[in-house]
Parts: sequence; C-alpha cells; structure tokens
Amino acid sequence: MTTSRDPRVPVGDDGRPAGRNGDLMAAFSAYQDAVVRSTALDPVTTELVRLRCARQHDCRLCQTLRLADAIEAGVDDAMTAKIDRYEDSDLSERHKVALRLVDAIIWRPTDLSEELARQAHEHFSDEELAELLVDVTKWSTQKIHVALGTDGADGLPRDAAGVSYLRFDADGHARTASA
Amino acid sequence: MTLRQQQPEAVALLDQVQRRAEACVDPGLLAFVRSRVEHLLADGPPPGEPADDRARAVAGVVDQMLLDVASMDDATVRAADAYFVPGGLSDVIVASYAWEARTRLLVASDRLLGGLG
Repeated sequence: MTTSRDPRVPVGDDGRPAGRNGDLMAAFSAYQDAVVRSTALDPVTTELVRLRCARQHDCRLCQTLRLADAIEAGVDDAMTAKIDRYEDSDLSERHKVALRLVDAIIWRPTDLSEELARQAHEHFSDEELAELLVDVTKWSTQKIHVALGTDGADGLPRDAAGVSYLRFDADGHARTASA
Repeated sequence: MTLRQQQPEAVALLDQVQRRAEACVDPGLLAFVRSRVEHLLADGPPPGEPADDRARAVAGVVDQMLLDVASMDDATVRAADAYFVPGGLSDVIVASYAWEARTRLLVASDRLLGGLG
C-alpha cells in the first residue's frame, strides 16, 4: 500500500530537494549509473529485486515504474503480483532466493544466514551475486526520497494500468519513462 | 573474489561518494551518523550521545531510515531540517545512505563473497 506524503524539505522545479551539494550528487549518480551498466544478472531477476525494494520501502515513484527490458523478457502483472507474498507463490526457487537475499540485505544484513548463502550459491554465480548486492543498494537509494517525501510519481506519463516504463542508456542514465 | 574485484567500478565510485560526503558534511555530525549506521546494521559499538539538538534531530531521521523508512513522519524530518540551510539535510541523508549502503555491502559480501575488499 502506498502512502500519501508531501515533500518534507524545500524542493526545486524538478521536485528534488533544493540546494543540494552538486559534487556529492554527481558522485552519487555516478555510482548508480555504474551499477545499472552491469549486465551479469538477467532482467527478470533485476526487476523482481527492484520491485521488492520499492514495495518494502514504499517508494511511490519506483512502484509506478517498470523496467522495459524486464517486460520484454517476460515480466508481467501476474508475476509482479507475487512479489509481496513470494514465499507462498509459484515463482521459481531462483527468484525466491533472490527475494530472500533482498529482504536480508535491506532489513538486517547480519541475519543473512549460512543456509541462505548456500541457497544463493546454488542458484547464482558469484558475478551475479555481486551484481545483486550492488543492485539492492542502487534501487534502495529510493529511501532518500521516501524520507524527504520527494518520491512522488505525479509527473510521470502512465499507461491505462497506471504504469510508466523505464529504460537506461549505455551510460546507465535513466531515459524518460513513457506510458 | 571480493565484491571490489567483482564490481571494481561501482565500489570505487561508492568510495568516491564517501570522500565527497566528508568534504561537505560537518565531520563530527558525519562521524556520529556513521556510528549509528554501524551500530544498527553491523552490531558496531553503541554510538555516543548526540552532541547537540541538531545531532539529536538528525539521529531521529537516520534511525528511522535504517529501521523502516516507510514509517518516517513529517515532524521527524522537519525537526531536523530546521537546523540546516536548504539542501543541508539532504546532503546529510545522502551521506548517511552512502555509509548505510557500504555497511550493508560489507556485511552481505562477507557472507556471500570474499568480503568487500
């Protein structure tokens, strides 16, 4: 369930917090871009990970978005509807393990058990796991906007289902979402 | 292999975010925020008491972000924002999140890979 919230700090014309340090934001954006450029993890798993972060953190903007690459790879509403109660779903074991990892990392990383680590290595290569880890921290940057109340999705073009589609260019920059 | 070996560019850029944060956030406040992150996420030692009302207000925001950001309320953020010029609280929160991300990666990569590196 998404919450209604207004910006809690002064914002600029772009709806983002006004007066932020440009060097810090540039470095932060460069980190996120580099993470997005990684390609070891398949787009379906990436989207399930992204949406789990979005829903657990209640980011309005991120819940409105879908990664276009993931849609083209087979993600649909029926699949995304299973994320909230994934343990009881018929999602693949690989996807369930990915979501268990997300939950451990975003809540209490010290709770990431030996059993979950074993499952992770059974279903993912080290290269995929490394990407999943940094992916979680990239998608979870939404926490900053949720905290400041600047995670609104009002300006996004949406389709009839209320969804907006997002692509990234070769540099990892988000391209304007489209309905 | 370590996470740094698997994701060299990303981890180096996260290091760069830390350096930028150190250049634009009050060092004492940044150290205080980082200690709270490490305590809550990685069983680090208990953080010291807030040095002043500003640090106490920031701690309210940082702790809520770490534990359940979806339950953040207006009053907690606005109480902290009152101590900063526009953009100042946002910089602190970005700095806090960057340390949070590093800490989560540190713990998780210890369990899944060869550590952060």
